[in-house]
Amino acid sequence: MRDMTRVWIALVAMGLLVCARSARADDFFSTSPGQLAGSHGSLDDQNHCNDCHVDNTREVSKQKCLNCHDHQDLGARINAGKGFHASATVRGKACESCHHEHKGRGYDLMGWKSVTGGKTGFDHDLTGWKLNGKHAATDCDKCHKTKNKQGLQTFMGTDRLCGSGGCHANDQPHKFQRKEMLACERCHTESVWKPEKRVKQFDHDDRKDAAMPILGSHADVACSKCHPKAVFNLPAAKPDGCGNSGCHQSTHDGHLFGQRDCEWCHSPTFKSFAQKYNADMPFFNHSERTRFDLGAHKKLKCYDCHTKALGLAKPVGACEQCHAKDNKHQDRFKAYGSPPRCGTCHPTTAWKPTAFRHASTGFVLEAKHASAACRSCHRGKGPADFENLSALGTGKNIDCMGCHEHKNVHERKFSNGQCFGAGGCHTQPGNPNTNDAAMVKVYHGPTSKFPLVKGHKDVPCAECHTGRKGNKTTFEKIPADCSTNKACHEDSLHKGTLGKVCTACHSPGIWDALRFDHNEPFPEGSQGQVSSFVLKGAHKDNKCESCHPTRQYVEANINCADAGCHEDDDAHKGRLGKQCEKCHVETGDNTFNHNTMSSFRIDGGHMKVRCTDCHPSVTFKPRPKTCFGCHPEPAVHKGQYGTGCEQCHSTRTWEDIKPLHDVGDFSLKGAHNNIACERCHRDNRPLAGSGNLCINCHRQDDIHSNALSPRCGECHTQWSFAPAKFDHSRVGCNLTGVHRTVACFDCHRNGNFSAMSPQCASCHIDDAINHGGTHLGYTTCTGAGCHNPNAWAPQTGFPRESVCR
Amino acid sequence: MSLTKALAIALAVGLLAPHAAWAKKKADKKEAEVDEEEDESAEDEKPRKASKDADEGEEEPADEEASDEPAEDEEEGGGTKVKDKTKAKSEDEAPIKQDLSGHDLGTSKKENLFEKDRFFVDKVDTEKTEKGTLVQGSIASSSLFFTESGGSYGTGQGDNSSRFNRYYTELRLQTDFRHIGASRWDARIDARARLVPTPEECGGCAVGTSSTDPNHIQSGFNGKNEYDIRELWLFHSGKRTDVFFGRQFVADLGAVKFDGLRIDYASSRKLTFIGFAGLYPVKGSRSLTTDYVPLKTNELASAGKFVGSAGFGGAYRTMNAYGSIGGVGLVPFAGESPRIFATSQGYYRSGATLDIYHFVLVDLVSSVGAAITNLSAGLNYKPGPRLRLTANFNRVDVDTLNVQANAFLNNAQTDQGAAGSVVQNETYFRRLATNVARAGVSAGLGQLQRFEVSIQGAYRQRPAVALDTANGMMTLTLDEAKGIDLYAAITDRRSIADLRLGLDVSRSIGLGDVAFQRSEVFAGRVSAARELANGHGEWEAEVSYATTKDSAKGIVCNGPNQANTCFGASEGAILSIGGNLFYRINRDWMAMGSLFLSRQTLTHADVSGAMNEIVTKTKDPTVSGLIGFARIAYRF
Repeated sequence: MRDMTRVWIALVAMGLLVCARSARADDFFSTSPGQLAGSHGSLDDQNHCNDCHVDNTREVSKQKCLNCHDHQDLGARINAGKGFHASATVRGKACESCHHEHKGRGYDLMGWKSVTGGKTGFDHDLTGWKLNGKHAATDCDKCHKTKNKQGLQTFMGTDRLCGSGGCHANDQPHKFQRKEMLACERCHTESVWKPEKRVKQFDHDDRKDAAMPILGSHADVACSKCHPKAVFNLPAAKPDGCGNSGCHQSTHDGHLFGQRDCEWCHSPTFKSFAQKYNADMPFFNHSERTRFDLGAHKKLKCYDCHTKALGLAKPVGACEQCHAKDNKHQDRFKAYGSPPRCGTCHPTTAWKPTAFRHASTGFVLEAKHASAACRSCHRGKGPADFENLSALGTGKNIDCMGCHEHKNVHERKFSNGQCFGAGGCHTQPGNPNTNDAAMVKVYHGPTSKFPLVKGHKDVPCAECHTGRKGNKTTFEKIPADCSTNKACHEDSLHKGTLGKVCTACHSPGIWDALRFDHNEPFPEGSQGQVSSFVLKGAHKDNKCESCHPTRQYVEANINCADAGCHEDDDAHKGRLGKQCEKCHVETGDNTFNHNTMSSFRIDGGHMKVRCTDCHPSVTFKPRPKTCFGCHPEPAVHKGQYGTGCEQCHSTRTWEDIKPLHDVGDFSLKGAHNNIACERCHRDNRPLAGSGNLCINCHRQDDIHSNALSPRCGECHTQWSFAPAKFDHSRVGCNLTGVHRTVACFDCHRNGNFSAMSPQCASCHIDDAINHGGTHLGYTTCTGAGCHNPNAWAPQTGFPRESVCR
Repeated sequence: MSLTKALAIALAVGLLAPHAAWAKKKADKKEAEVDEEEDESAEDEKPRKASKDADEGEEEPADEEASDEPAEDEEEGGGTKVKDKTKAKSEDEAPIKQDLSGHDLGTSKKENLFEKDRFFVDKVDTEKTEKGTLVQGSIASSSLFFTESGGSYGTGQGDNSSRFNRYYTELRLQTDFRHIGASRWDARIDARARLVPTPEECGGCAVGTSSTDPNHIQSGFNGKNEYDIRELWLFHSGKRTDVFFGRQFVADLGAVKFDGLRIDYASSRKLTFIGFAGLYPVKGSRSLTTDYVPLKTNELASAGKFVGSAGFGGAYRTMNAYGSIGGVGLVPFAGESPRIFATSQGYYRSGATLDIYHFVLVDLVSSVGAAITNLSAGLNYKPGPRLRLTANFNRVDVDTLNVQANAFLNNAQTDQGAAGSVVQNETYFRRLATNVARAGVSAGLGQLQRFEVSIQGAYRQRPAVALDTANGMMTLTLDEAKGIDLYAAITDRRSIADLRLGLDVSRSIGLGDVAFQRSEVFAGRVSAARELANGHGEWEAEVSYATTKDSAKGIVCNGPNQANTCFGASEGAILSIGGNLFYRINRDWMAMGSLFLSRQTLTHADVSGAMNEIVTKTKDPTVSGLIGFARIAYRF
């Protein structure tokens, strides 16, 4: 029984031993250095030790780490020399030196504890992505939002493009999509979004940046005009033209015009298309670009022919297609087509006069006849009687007097056969001039009262001599005033506003107002006054109607931007008033002086700045006068110095902060101009105002026991501390002789520089005692005729017991 | 051995074996951790950006962060661990420290555009140096020469000019060792040696006819050779704690110079505590020979050689203000009670236009009682870029320990003949404060502020002071001195030929019976300066003229009891012509020099007659002087 008990005990013990061994083998965690971190949790058993370690040793293979699927991208970056792990600080270090393992599931495997200052102290510069401005103070999690499959925050792969990824994708209102446009730093600083950089890495004229170069008037258009709400990515799928870019809504949709590019008719250099449209349209020449010479149709508006009803169709070229309803001839001209071809009689250049080849009727129209109105001869009562010439003659013999009624003109002195030809008065049919040149010479020769010169030369007599007796020109005397006889020159232009003396401005026979001088008083008798508007520059070459479109010459507008003059040219939309001459002159030069005409002085570097750099809109909306209004604070200051840029910088150059130390009595010179700023501005601190107290920095250098002024500059210079400029004669004690070069300390040993006894014995009593003998009784040095302050010896008296002169 | 015992032993061994193995592994682990920490520490020794970009306004104090965030290791349990980890975390998240050394120890800073051409500028680490030691510094040799000539006062009365020439030459070495061996240790030495001659006193005169002290005719602390260790320290930069050891000065606590240990602890980026302790050399000493001289009590008895010093304070910085405040104790080991003073300096900027600053040093406890030893307070108001108004008040008082000042004084001679009836300057130490209130305005005029006009006015005052004879039998009173200083200057910064032209005049006017500094001075100066060789150098030439008129009408100084009437009674004029030159020979060599000629004329007044009513004016010979200074420096 006892033996059995022993056997049982032995069996139980062996069982426990086996269980213990087995348990020890299974409980890997009890023998490992510690649990792996959560990310490596799947490797936390004996079979995976060599996944990281080398041959069951403590050594950990970097290559194994990087070959791991999760870290392959990191390995690629290190090989490419990119990122934090490729930086000089990390490169070459073992992974485990920062990423500590076997410290438990929840341990921070990211290695933040190995970084000075932890995550917030991480030197982001080492990643190759320097943090400036607000980025320097932005929480890491704001940018690094991704997590790996273990739920740990990851830091690689963060999109560097500000506008994409998870950083500022939602901040950019521009709706940019192209990758290169998502680099916000091209226009914005890292400190503030607004104002944006003054000099942007963006060129609207570069096809890489913008599809549309800035031409003509577009240069003065504010960005927001085309890109409202800062949406720079135009909404159209392919914004390659004015009409489909979202800027200019085409009014021609569904019409033939809408099929053409805007540039066919519109130019970016036009101030106003409407203005040019009505006057002339140099950019679209219908005669050149189409087969239809407009001629008189130029007066028509485009839509008169290209009606909206036509839609995309072109109007036909034949007149009668458009003018069918204008045919008032019924069927009388069937011989010329049905409907009759208008072009037979009417040219495209004008509805009247006719283009009808009258010679085809056997009656050649010559001379005056060629320009006579049809109805002058075709005197039928109505349109239907147009071709009825029976009243003028018989058959095909149409006599002169049939039309000209010579029986009345010349009191029937002449017959038809005497009109022209041999013995005739007139030179040829249709020419009313007589052969008798002398007739004209008497009344209108050079010596006559009304010589016919220039344009008057060729005017038929009857056009001026409108008097008729019956059908006869009476040639009665007519007034010489041009406009008295309305038949001559009706003042349809000036409508009497300038009086009736046309010759005040016009010469006889010459319609141009050669005698008129805009800058001279008007001739006596005329209604005009001295012009208050002296013509200069480009105005001299202007046609009158350019400024006086309504022929209103009296009390005309004199403000440049008044309606009719430059109102449409005012790029400033009237916001700067109507007196353009304040800034512009007739030569086109701009005379605006920012220093005298605005409250913001322009000098230094600002002289080189384009107007639009500060005033993006041509309305010249005033900008803030503070520097910060245009210059967002550079990242270098990191907000340390506030917004008062002008406190340190000048407009001379941005880099020139020398004036900061060129104020008052602390302009840096010599040695001070050669030391590092930190020597005085410790911790980058400002010292404004206190800098001229030298002692602030030189307190430890003061050998005068603080007994003198804190302004070392009263004796020393900035060039070098030595030599001092101190002159003892300025303190009421001029020194002489050897005392002039004695070290200060020899006399001022007692920390006292301003209240000492100047008596010789006050310093030299020891000398007397040391000398002994009779000197023991002396209280003066010079009084006994022994010494003088200039030299201790020779022993010669001096009538003054003082070191001061 | 019975089977039971064998089984029991086997069982025990079986159970304990894993634990033994675990214990061994734990020991290994501990060793590994130690190794690991050492490795980490070694890695941490790599240079850090000491002055990483600071953004004071947005940074939360590290302490607050530490307290706000849950302890990362709490989940692992263990209160002790939590404490340790919290401490570790606190260390990990050390704030960006203030750079209080004045030497920009952050060698990884970027090039500063505004100082890139300067000579004494701290170097920036290269890839090569950042893995080792960045050594930088300069060695400068300076020499001065002064001579003058005048005329004789008459037979046997000597010349009015000094017959000694003044000259010295000195060598100064400044060297910084940054992140020594890529560690966190730095070192700096700033040493200077000046050699001066001690000329023969009277050039062959008979023995016994000279003054008992050798002539010290040179400039400096006491006119002797100087072997100066200005700074010599080791520095260790920790995450929060910086340690300095050696000769140094604490700019934030009254610029106290001492030989000892200083520890800075950055509590947060806004506040750094400063503590130091060590030996306090003689204030103002500029030589090892005078740093620790035998000290004396007021009775001129021995007071040992050493004075201890210790201080504690804090340097703060906020968005709009910075400064420091603290207390310092100077403890003579014998002969004088400790001196404890509080000091504060600060700067406050209100908006962009107003700056206010102060420095104050108040003796709380000392052998001379409590006193305001030093006070500077002022403001600078700049309403616009072109106008600046300044106002300040300064009070300066003698700042030293009696035992140190007494070290250079003699025993009062009271028992030798009539010597006791004389006021003896070198037998006592005296504190005497002066006060100055000053206001000024500077205006920039013209395009880009080409012209600057400055006007200043100051009121200066020294109180009356009593001088006692050595035997204490008589007191002579020197009257209060006060006066007004007026100053006006105009500068044309960019004049013709790129010259910088300046004209300034100053006038001091005495108030009351005695003018401040006992003389009324009018001085005018015309200067012209210009850069050389595209900024490689600069010269400045000037002509100055000054007249002086002493307050005393005439000297009455016939006996030992008339010390208060012995001050100067002269009218003088000084004409000075000279200039300064700086030239940067190349990147590492620099030369600087100055040369001035002066001519001084003087008319002095003597008083005689029973009622001292007769004033005799005598014109002294003219004194002409020349002073030259040259320096050449090499940086490495």
